Amino acid sequence: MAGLNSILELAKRSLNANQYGIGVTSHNISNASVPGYSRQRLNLAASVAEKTQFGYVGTGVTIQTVQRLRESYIDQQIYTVNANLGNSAQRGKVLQLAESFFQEPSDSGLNAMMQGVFNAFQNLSTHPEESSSRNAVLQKAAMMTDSFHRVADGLKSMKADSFEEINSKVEKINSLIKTISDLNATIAGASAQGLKPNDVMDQRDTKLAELSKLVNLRVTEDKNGFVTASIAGTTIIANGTYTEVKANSAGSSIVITPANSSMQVNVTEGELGGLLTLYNSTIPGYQTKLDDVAQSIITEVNTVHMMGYGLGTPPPTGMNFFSGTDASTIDVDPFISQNINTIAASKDGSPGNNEIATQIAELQNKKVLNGSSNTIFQYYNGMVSNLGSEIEGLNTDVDSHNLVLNQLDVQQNSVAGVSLDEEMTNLIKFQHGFDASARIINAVNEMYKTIIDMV
Amino acid sequence: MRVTEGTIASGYLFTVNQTRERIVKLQTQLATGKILQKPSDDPETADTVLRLKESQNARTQFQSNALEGQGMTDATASTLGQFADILINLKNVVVKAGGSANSEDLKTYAESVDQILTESVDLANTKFNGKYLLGGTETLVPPYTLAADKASVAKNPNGIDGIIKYQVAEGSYIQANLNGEDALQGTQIFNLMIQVRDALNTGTFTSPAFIDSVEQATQHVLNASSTAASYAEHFDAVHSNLEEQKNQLEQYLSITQDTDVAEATMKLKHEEVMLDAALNTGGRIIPKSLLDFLR
Repeated sequence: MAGLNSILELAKRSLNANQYGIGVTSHNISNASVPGYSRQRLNLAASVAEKTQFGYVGTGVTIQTVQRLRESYIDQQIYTVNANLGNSAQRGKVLQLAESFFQEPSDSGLNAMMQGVFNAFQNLSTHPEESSSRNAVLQKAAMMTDSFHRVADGLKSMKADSFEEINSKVEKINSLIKTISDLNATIAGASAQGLKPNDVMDQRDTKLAELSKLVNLRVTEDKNGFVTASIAGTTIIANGTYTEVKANSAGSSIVITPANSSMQVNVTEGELGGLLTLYNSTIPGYQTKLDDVAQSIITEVNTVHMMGYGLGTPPPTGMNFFSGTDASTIDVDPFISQNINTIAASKDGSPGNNEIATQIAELQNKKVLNGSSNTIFQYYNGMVSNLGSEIEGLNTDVDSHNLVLNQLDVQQNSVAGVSLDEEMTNLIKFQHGFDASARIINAVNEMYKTIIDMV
Repeated sequence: MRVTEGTIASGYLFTVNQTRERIVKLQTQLATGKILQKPSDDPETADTVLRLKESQNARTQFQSNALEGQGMTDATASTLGQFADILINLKNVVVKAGGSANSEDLKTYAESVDQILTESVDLANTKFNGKYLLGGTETLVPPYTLAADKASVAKNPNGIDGIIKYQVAEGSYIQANLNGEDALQGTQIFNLMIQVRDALNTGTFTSPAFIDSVEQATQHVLNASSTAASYAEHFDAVHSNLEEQKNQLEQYLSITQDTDVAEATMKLKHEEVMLDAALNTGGRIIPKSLLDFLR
């Protein structure tokens, strides 16, 4: 039977439950803008009723759990999109820098500089005797080789920067792996006592999201909230242990392996995946193409120039115009730059003959690259517009990934986000619940008084 | 769906940010007058722009070549015209000398012819823009040398038969000179003058044979002059043609890469309205909360 004592006890528990409710609500309100915070809910249930001769009489409320509301399925989706976004964004960022080296389309780009050289040879063909037109050839050629050096140096330092960046990302990954594993251990410890450490789990999930921006991450969570994580199929966090990763130079490329093994971890996504693609294939690809252009100019111009004659008695012949072998080493041959009369314009040694100058100028229309299917300019323009398309594609990827991510965030937020309106309503609810419970105690108190007064 | 303050705020920021991105793009297009600043803005158009610029550039260079060629060939034509005039003078002298038997007179005529010889060698060594016009590709050495005793005229031993061509289009060349061999038959005309002079001096002069030879020489030089003039005309025609092509390319380039200001302004206006709307609704909705209505 519901004695006064048990009602007092019931009211106390009710008071307590509402107080906890206000506690959880204020915890939610204070963390409303904390990134990664998942809202918590106080789960209450009616306590086991007491059987009486009249039927079951309720015994009040019991607190069951403080539950964390979060959809781990959406988190997994977010990890995947994060990895794709990280990859596209990283590559887009770096390639935009590369694009700026080329300065196309403009009058200071490599295209304009190469045209400058061929035009200077055209000009020389109308004035093969004059030193002014020879000087112009030399100046334009020097401007062009400078541009080649500038772009080649840019690409080279870009590659070096990517190397640094890869190392710093690997460091970050390792520190995240360790943190996540530590948090995992804390969660496991608490779970063993049957309690879910909600805020620690939030922290761990935030770290996992951070890690997912860097690599393709796969996470599975068991019923105790314990996670197993793998990067590109290689398990890195499991059963309370973790494995760090490291970057190894293999020839001219970099491969990622676990710290304790030589088995390659094929990181394709995330910022690290993007950087590896850049370092291992994209940047070397553009370097090779640029070198192809420089190399064809060197060989083609030299082959023709070698057959021609400069000014003088006897006219100098058999000279190279360019020295070097690629975009970083291309230069006007020192003999030429020291004596402009060694520039060959004539085919037979007579000063007015312009056939070699014309032939060199005509090289711009010769299909010498890409298996003799592209002129130097077609090849170069193809490379530039290819770079442009690549960046355009990556920008589109970034936009669409952002859109998806935004949508996923909205979805996760609809589960895990704190709504202040809701919390305020809960606050009012719990507050009134508290007041009412207090009123019960008051009533019981008065009832005691009445009884005592009767004595 | 459960909508929290976070959802509203991030959705609002996302859309406002997107609108601002589009505004920045349009604003740059309007400020620079170009629809693309870098290849990634529109790779295909960038490729077209590069190609058009190359074509334009090449045509500008060909135009400059044509202008040079026109100058050279015009000068050659006029030099040869003057040379023909000298030969007409020579013919007059030869005709006059044919009607005179007086050896004193013949000596005077011989002196005139001698004068003509010097004059014509000088003319044949005309320079234009620092180049000897009739020397073939040997443009730095006078093509003809009159011996000190004026007994002979020698050509540059390296040859004066070189042909110079200027490129005026891809794979297309126009001759820009007439060499001494073609224009003046090597030293043949000068030798004729020397023969006339010597015949007058030695009294072995017979008019009719020389008249024929001089007339033939005149005709040859006149033909050469008109050939040079026709080269010049060709250069001129190419030059105007290139000008037209350049104008067309310019127009095409402008259509390809220039911002359509009216269209971009319209779009910008539209985005501005969108931004206003987003800011306005955001400003009204975001601060709203249950708290406003609780005491």
